[in-house]
Amino acid sequence: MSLEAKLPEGAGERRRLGRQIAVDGLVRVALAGSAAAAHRAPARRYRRPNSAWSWKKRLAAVAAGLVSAAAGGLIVLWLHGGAGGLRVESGEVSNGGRAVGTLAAGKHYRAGAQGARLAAPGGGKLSLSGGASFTPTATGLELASGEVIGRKLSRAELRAGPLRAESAGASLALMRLAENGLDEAAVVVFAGRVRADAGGGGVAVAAGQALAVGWGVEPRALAVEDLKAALARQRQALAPPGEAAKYHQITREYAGRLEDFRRQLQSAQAGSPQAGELQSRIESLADCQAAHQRRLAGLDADAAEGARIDRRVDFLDRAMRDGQDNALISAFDPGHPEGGQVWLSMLSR
Amino acid sequence: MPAEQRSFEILVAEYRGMVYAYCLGILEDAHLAEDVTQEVFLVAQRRLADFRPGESFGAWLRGIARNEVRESRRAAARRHVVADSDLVAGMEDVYARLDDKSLGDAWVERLAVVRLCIAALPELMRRAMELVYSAGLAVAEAAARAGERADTFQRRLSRAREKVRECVETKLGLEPLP
Repeated sequence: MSLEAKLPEGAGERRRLGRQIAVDGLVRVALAGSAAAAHRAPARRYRRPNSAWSWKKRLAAVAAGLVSAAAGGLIVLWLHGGAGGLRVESGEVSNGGRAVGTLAAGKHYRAGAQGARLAAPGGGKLSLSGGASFTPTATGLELASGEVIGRKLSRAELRAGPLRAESAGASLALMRLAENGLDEAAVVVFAGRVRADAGGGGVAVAAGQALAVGWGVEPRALAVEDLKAALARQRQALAPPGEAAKYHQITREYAGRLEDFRRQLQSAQAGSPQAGELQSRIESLADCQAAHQRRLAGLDADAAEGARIDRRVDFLDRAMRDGQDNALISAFDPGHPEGGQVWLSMLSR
Repeated sequence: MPAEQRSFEILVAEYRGMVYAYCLGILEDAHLAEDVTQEVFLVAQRRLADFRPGESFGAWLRGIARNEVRESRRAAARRHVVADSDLVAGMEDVYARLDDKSLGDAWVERLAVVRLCIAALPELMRRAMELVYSAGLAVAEAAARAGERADTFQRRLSRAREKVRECVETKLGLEPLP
């Protein structure tokens, strides 16, 4: 857009254009992230450890092995739904501090520190992270905090705060960081398709995509890589890691010097030029210290936001990784020698 | 590290985002804006003794930024922006308010005003802004992506820019211009 050719005649119009130029710059930064994020360090593109193709090949090999092992080439595709009558398959789940083996809809439970794996009567699986807090519902599960991975869930409804995810034979990971007081949640789909609703109408979230609420990005289905890039830009818009520590160090130095000057003031003769000089230095230093402490509050907030962003990125990484691992484990599930699970939807990706 | 050097680093950390946004508005080129931002701080470090306590440090840095734009050969196409005193005054209207720490200690907090205004846009307008400003697409390309005619898309984008500017003016308490 060339402004030169169309600079307005009137001074007021030109001043308005000046405001517009200022706001345009701010919009570009707000949408693109920080100075560094916008260009100098372009967002690192997320690359899965295994490309989609090699993953397909790996699963195909698993499936082929399974076919030859299960004489007759039987491959069973499981589609199970609902969470009513969930039972604890591994790990520990407690209700009011008491360990339970089966779960009832409407009651509140917490997974043990090592996490837990739940099985639905039909065979659907839910893996909960350590300490996850949740309530089974008639058709699924409501996550109060923590993470849950659901595998091949048909007609199941998972909720996490403002986020609702309806699965139709999909495999997904859901997280909610309720402990930080913010209403944030996210769903990652690694097989099949999920209908998600974040309060603004339902959207389809396909395999390899995620939808996040309260993460500072538009709540719509985004490729996991794109969501991670947006988080990386947010991260770079914050004060650099270590900045808060630097300020803490500086304020400590100020405190030390202030104490030193005050000691000197006590031993100086009252009303002497030396005492006046010391008093002036103390006041000036105290002002600086106060200014740095005010700045520290912002830096500490940045550090906390940085930690939240790291946790979100970690969740996305883990969800994609665990989704793949679980698929492999399922294919070789020794508990089901009749054929185990093969996720055909992943094979066809 | 000498105390003076450390103090300057703190100033850079505090004002870098602001100077970059200022340059980006003028130059409309992220790489060039980053280069000019770096130059601004190099010059500021050399001329720190010229800064008069009591003046606005942000305004002083923006003055250096305008000089750098004037002197940069690569920025020649945008020199007219910093040559017009009314345009500069308009930019300063916005940035002088953003210098106010009551909006937030950190620059990123003060930028929240703009984020709120973008979030308040109707969906189609916000999407238009994202395609051009965030995805970095040219208007024609962005229009194609949005499935619209280029002129329709351009009008929507212009309206979105105006709406954000009006919203920012209101939030910063700027008097509307006659």
